[in-house]
Formats: sequence, structure tokens, C-alpha cells
Amino acid sequence: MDLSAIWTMTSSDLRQRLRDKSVFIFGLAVPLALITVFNFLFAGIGDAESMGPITVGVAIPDGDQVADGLPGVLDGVDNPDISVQDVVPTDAEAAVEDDSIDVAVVVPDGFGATVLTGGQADVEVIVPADEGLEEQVVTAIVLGYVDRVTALSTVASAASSAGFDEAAVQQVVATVRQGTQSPGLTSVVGETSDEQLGVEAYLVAGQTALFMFFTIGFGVISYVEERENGTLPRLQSMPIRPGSIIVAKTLVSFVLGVASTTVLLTAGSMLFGASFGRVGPIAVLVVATVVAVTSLVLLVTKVARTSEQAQIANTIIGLVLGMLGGAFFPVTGSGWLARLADLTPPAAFIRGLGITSGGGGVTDLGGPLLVMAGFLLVAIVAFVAIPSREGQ
Amino acid sequence: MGQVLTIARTALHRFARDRSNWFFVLVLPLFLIVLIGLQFSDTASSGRVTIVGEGALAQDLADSLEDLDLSVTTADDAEAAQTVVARGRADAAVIVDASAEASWAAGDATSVEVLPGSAAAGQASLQAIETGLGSLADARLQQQALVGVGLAADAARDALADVDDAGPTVSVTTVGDSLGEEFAGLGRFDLGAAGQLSLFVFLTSLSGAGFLIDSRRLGVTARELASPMTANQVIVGEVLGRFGIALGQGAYIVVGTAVLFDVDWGDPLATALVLTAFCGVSAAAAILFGAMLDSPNVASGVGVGVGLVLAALGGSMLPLELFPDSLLVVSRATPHHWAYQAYAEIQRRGGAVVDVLPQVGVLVAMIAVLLPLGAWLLKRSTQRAL
Amino acid sequence: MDAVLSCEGLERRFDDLIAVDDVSFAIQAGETYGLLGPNGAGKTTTISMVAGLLEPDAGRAVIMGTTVGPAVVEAKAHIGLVPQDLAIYPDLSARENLRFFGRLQRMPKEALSARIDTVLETVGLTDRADDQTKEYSGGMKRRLNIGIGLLHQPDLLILDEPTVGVDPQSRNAILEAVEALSVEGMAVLYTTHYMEEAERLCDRIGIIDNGRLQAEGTRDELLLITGEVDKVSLQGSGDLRAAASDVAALPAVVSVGREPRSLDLTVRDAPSALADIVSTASAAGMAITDVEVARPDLESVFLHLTGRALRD
Repeated sequence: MDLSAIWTMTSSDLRQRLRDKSVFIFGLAVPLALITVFNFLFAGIGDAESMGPITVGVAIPDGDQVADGLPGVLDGVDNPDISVQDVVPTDAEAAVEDDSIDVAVVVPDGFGATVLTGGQADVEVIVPADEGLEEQVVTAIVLGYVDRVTALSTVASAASSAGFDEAAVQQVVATVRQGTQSPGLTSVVGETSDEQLGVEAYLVAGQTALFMFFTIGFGVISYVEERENGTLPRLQSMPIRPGSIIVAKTLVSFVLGVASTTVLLTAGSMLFGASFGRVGPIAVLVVATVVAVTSLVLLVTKVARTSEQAQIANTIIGLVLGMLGGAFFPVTGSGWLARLADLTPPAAFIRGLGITSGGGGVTDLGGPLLVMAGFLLVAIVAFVAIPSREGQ
Repeated sequence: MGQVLTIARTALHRFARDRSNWFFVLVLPLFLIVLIGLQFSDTASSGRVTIVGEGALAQDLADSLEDLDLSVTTADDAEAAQTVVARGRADAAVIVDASAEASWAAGDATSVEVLPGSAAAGQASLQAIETGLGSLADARLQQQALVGVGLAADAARDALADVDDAGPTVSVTTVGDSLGEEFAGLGRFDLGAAGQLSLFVFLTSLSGAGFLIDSRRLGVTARELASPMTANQVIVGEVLGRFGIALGQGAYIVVGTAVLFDVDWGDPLATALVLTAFCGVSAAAAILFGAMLDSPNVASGVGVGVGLVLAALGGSMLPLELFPDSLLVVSRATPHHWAYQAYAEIQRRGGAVVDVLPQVGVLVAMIAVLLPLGAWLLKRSTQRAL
Repeated sequence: MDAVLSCEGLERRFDDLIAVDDVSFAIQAGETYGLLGPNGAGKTTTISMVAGLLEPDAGRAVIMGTTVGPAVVEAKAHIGLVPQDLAIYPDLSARENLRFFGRLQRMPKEALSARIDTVLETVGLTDRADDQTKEYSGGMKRRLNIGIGLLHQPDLLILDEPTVGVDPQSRNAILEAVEALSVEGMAVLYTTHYMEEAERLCDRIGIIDNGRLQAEGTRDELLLITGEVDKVSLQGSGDLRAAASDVAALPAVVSVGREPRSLDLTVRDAPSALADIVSTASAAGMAITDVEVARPDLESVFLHLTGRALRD
């Protein structure tokens, strides 16, 4: 390789790119502006890290032995932290509306007696219209409690209808009641790793992944520009190896990509408190992503007739892959679209940053790195297979 | 007037001649609307749980969780489930392995592994899963108790099935206004379509400012000014050209989404009025933009940035109803905000022309400020270029 | 003495089109060789093969004993190419452009700095050396374009239509610079479709059309090819009939045509016969008001060789 010539071309190109304002605009200014605005918009809207404390007003009829276990069950829940207070049934709705309590649970008069004789009764859970997770949890707990009560009443009805006498029915109910004290089906909570980025970090990662395409484009696409400007023939007439020109351009793309990505991620973590984990694995991920995207832009360069065409094709590819890859909002779900999205470099980049932010190392980055390697491979094969547009 | 129209027509013609514009104008908006629409359909449930396992217990648990209004998917193995949860694509996973199935089938006490996601939704799903497990356990208890007093297993099951409807119920009452009601009448693509309409019309106009700078640099503007027409006529021609592009794209998005995705745009007259006013603001902004900047490259970069930022602030990326109050104040400075409000009036509340007049009034006021300012700056910059 | 450049049977096709077909010529040190032909004749393709931008399909170009090719670095070091397009970077200053290309020519650092100053002086850009070249006038850019080709003092300088689109003043400066180079002993390959430039600059000229070298030689040798004679036109009044018959009798005069107010003659070696012709006609009673002499030029050579004009 012609190292000194490659270095001369790379450094001269970098100097020119830096003099051109568009690298700063597309590589730094626009993404930072977008991250800032999105940050104002979306912070506080995304997934909460934990549930907040909640006050539940419960109305239990005096002396109702079936229902009086409910406050204890609610009180015993740790996450969210539930505090229980009494509420008068007629005030319950107003109390929820004026926010003095978060949720009200109203057990009707005569609930216990009705239930135990197999009759119908309705427990009312009153929640605010924009209910949060906490309110959903309360509803689930009430449902669970009522389920258990139902278990008693249905088994009593079943026993009676099967023709058992009162004593046998009581025995069946007692068995079930006893059984509910130690349920036969329980859950063990396992450990999960967390590969999700917080809202701020996600915005930074997404915009970085999107604008990487533009920044990287500035390097390789200048090859086509030089072909148009006439500087390419002059370069080719220089005593340098023919391949070193495109190698230098690729290097420029690579340097610009790594630099802008680093600046954006660093600025993102400093300005918006995003955290991405350890530097080593992040560096590996950044390099792999920049290589994959650069190979894609190289391919565009080979196919494009003019630099304008190359710019536009690059923009289109960047936007489509970026949006699909979740640069603006995550493409979730398990359908084909999510699967397709997973295969894009931006998605793999964002996912990789999720892994590193959860403390993952290079070995945990297998999935994202595989995607990048796949892109590189496809780009190389296509690059070789597609005939060049050079010549007169 | 003929000359003015010639300038406008040329602007349209130059725009249409560039094939790449067709992608940005015609394909990209619909692509984005589809992508957003598919997202909306995905997040309708109160929790997302993925289950690993194919046995009877796994199946019963899935049914029981769906009864609790959770959306349930299946994963191939524990590792896949772990990944799905770690990536936030499910709030929690339940792993029902072969030994759990066997011990449950044998009537023994059984436990299944639950992997809650780290976010609050994971903890909330954990509670729901425990409720679901409890009801399965209760059902078995009932059966065992009946068998314990001498009933045959089949008979016990039948007896329980017969009284299934008995017992207490839980009903949930909501109080206060909810976003759910606000968006209730909207199809899955409707909200995204209205937002993207404003985003793209404005963005396309701004990026068209580069053409204007080109014209000035190439001396075309000077030549136009040298022809027997006033500077104002030239500017009106340029504005009309931008306006035509904006309106064409806007109409395409409205008709395209209505036909392809069944988006309900409400009263056509009212929608047309809002769109027209918004396109006017976009065209005026493009003129202002083209007059202020000198390099087409810089203009296209800044244009994309400004276009996206204004769209985000104006509710094209996040419904205004979810905005914090402080940002809502800033948001009012964007034309997107008023278009959003107007389309909301039309789409959600069946508004007609009269109902959107306030919003249209604000948009017209914006034109009244931007257009003279842009025209003045354009005249100045053209003279500078001479 | 060996030629600096010798081309032997160069041939290059683009798909079905034969752009250059069996072109052979050689250039000695200190010699300026012109490739004259209309646009699309194959000049740039020939130069591209000589400069190592294109691999010939057949034949070869040898520079200082080394066969040129895109990957033959040693051969390229002998060449300075001045492309027809302005091959300079607009975002860099003249000095930065020169330094960049000088490094690629592997010039040592100190020698390069000194040489850059010299070249800046030569092309008259010393005052504006550190301004970005996008601020330059068209003529300044052209001069820098040539300066870069001279920078490493190549054995062969290739100039591809260096005066296209240049104002008359800059054009003259460029032509003078090229004339000075051959004096310094540099071999120059110069393509143009301007006949006057080829006549003024080139020691030898190759006329190229449709990819083939139609003829080659010094200007005078090429003029002989046509076998044409000079045209002399005498305008005036008086006894044109007598004048015509007297002039026709002169040995140098080949033919005479008589118009109402002029005589059109074809003459061998008009400059030496002109005095006789004028005095004979006057003596015969013609009052001459004007004399025009038209000598054959490369234009007529090209017309003779190809059957069409140089500038279509």
C-alpha cells in the first residue's frame, strides 16, 4: 500500500471537508438540535423506571367478613407502595376526581352474605381516566382477591348442585379457603438483563445513527465529485497506486463517521445525562457501525452517475434505514416489520448501545456486530459484482 | 399575470424534473405514515407478556392473562424471551418449562419463572401475572376439594363449569377526561397522517429554498428582474411556485392516505382551507429562508433541521395533548401547531369551515408577517447578487 | 537521443466505438508536439493513455524507457498532466493545492516549499497564494491548473486544451509560458482544436480525426501535403481585361479569374511573385485599390485530409 500518498489524500480531504460547513451542519448541528427538541418533548413521556406510591381508598361494609381481607392484601403490596384509607362510598368518585386519592375500591353492602350464598355482587374500582401503571396494578390485585372469593362461592354452588349436603359443602369451601392460603401455583422472579436505553439516551442514539449516513457520505461521495470536477484524472496521473485514491476516500468517511458519532454520543451524555456504558465496547460498536455504513455508501458511489445522484441515494437509504431502524421511535412488536427493522445498521447500533448501557461487554454485542458484518459482506459482494461506471 | 404564472410554472417544472424529489414528496410521507400507523396498533393493551412453553399450563396461563387484558405473545425459548424483555418488546416473560408442566399435571405445587422487565411496566405485569397464576391455582383447588368429598373428576369439572357465571364481579369506572376519548374516533393512521401532512409540506417547501438560491446565483433572478415586470411580480411568481409544490404534495398526501389507508379527513372544504393556508405559510417561509441564506448546500442542511424541529414542536411527532405546558407555549409559534388544532377539530369533532376559522386566521396572520419580510429580504439579496 | 515519449500503435475502444485507432508518435526533449483535431477526435483518450489513466487495448506508450499503465508508478513520476477541466480543489488555497499534489509526487518537503514559491511566481499567483481558489478568477484558476502540472519538473508535460474558455489576455499568458518551457528542455504534448495555437507553439503537429493520426510533421511539411497554391486577389478599376492577360503571362501565376471589380489569381509562392504581379497589372492600366494574399494553413490541411472543416 501507498501509505504516505493515502495519508496525504486523507488529510487534505479532511481539511477540505472541515472547511465546508455542511459537515458541521449535517454531522453535528442538525442532530444536536433535534436531540434537544426531542428531549424537551419526550422526556417524562417514555417508560418510567419505577412505579410511584399510590393511595387507595377502600369502602368495606361494616362486618363483612369476606371483604375485610382486601385492605390487608392491598396494604401488603410493596411495588407500588400502596397506602390504604377508608372512604365513604358516596364520596369515592369525587375523591378520585379531585386527586385526594388515586383509586377507590367500593365493595357493596351485603357483599359477603350475597357471595357466600352464590349470588351476584359487583365490586367497583374507580380510576382516573388517564390511569397509570399503578392504577392498573390495583385493579389486578382487586381482581385477584375477588377471584379468590369467587372460587369459594362457585365451589359452594357446584357442591350444592352436585347434591352434597350442607356439611359437605362447608367442608369443600373450607378446603378451598385453606388452599388459597398456600397457592399451588406460584411465580419465581428470575433475573433479566436490561438492554433498554432511557428516553434521553435513546434519542441521542437514534439521531446519531441516522445522521451518521450523511456525515459518512461526505467522504466517499467526494470521489464522484472529483470525477465530475476533473481532479480525479489528475490524481490518477500521480505516481500512486490506483487503489489508494478510493482507500483514502473510504478512510475519510471512516474518520468523519467515527468523529461525529463520538462527538454526538459524548455531547449526548454530557448534555442530556444519557449513559451508554463502558468506552471499550462502545468503541467496538461505533467502529463496526461506521464500517458497515461506509461500505453501503461506497456501494452507492459505485452505482451513482453523478455526485448529486449519490447524495440523494445516500439520503434516501439513510432515511429509510434510519426510520426503519428506529432513529425517531422504536419499531416494536414481534411482527415482520420489527424483524426487518432489527436487520438495519441503525437498529443494531441502538440495540448495541442498549447492551453496553446495561453493562454488556464486547462479547455481549454478538447480535449487533453480526448485523454489521452481514451488511459489510453484502456490500463487498455487491461492490465486486456491480460493474464500475468509470471510464469515458 | 401571465409572466407571474410563467415564473411559478417554471419553479414547478424544475422541481418535477428532478426525479429524486418524487421520492421525498410522494413515497417517504406514506412510508412514514405506515410505519407510525403500525406502531399505534401495537400498543393498545395494558401490558405485554411473552410466554415460553407449549403445554397445557402454558396455554391455560395465556388464556388467563388475556382475560386480564394483557397482550400475550409466545417466545421459542427462555433465551429468546429474555432478549425480548431486555429489549423492551415485552414487559415481562413467563417461562413454563417441562418440569413445571409435569409437576402441575401431577397435581403438585408448581412454580414458574417470571422475568419482569426493568421498567415499571415490568413490575405491573408481574402483579397481573400473579393474579393470573392465582386464578389457575384456585380452579384446581376447587376441583380437588370436590374430588376430596367424593365426586368424580369429570363430574367435578362439569359441576364447576355449570356455575361459572356465579359469584361477584369487578367493574372499573373511570372519572375525568381521557386521551383515549380524545382519540377515540381516529383510525390507526389518522393521527399520524395529519401530523405528517404538515411535516412534509413544510419540509419540502424549505428544502426548495435551495432552488431559489440557485436561481439567484445563476443570475436567473436578475434576468427575471430585467424583464418588463416589477420585483414584486417576480417574488409573487416564486411564492406561487413554492405554493403550488406544497399544495400538490399536500393534496397528494390527503387523497393518498384517504384511499390507501382509509384516513378520515372529515369535511373536505374545511380540510382544503386549512391545507391551503398552511401551504401559504410554507411557501412564505421558503422565500424568507431562501433570501436569508446564500449557499444551497447550507440551505438544504439548515432547511431539514429547521423543518424537523418545527414539526416536532408543532405536534407532528407527538400529539400536542401530551405536551408539557411550557412547550405548548413555544409550540404556538409554529404553523404546525395551528394546523394540528384545525385538523383535530375537523377529524375528531366533525368540525366544518366555521369551526377552523380561528386556526386558519392565525395561519393567515403568519403569512401576512412572513411574506412581506421574505419579499423585502429577497429583493435586498438579489440586489446584492447583482 | 531516445525520445521522452514514444507511442506505438495505441488503440482504445469503448464498447463498439473505436476512440483511438493505431496512433503512433514520439516526442523528444525540448520539443512541443501538438495533437490537433476537432472535439471528439480522440485527443483526450490518447492523452489519458499516455498519462496512465487508461489502459490501452493495444499498443503502448513508453516514457523515459518505461511502459505507462495505470499501476506503473515509476512511469507516472515523469509526467505532469494538466487536465482540460480545472483540476484544483476550490476549498484549498493555491499553496495548499500545490503542496498536496507535490506530496503525491513524492517531492521532499524542503525542496517542495521552495519549488512552490517558484511555481507561484511563474504563474503569477504569489500575491493570492493563500486565498481559497474558489475566490479566484477563471484565468487565475487556469494558471494554477498549469502550475500544478509544472510543479515537479516533469520530463513530459501534457496539456489538454489548456486555453478552452479563457479570455484572450490569459490565453496569451498561457501560450507564452508553454513557449518558455520548451526552451527549458521540457517535452510538451499539447492538444488543441485551435489551429493558430498549434501553428504558434508546436514544433511538430499530429492531425487527429476519428481516432486516427491522419498526418504528422512540422507546419511546413503539413502544408506541402495539400499541394495547394496561394490565392491572390487584386481589387480595383481600370482595364481589368488587359491586366488579366498580362498577369496570366507571368511564370508564377497558375490561373486568373476576372470579376467586375477584381482579379482572383492562384499563384506559386505568392510572397516572392507579388511585386511582379502588382507592377504588371498597374502597367496594363489597372488602378489597384487593395491586394489580398491568402496562404494555405492547417485548416486547409485538415480540410484536405478529412473533407471537413476543423471547427464544425
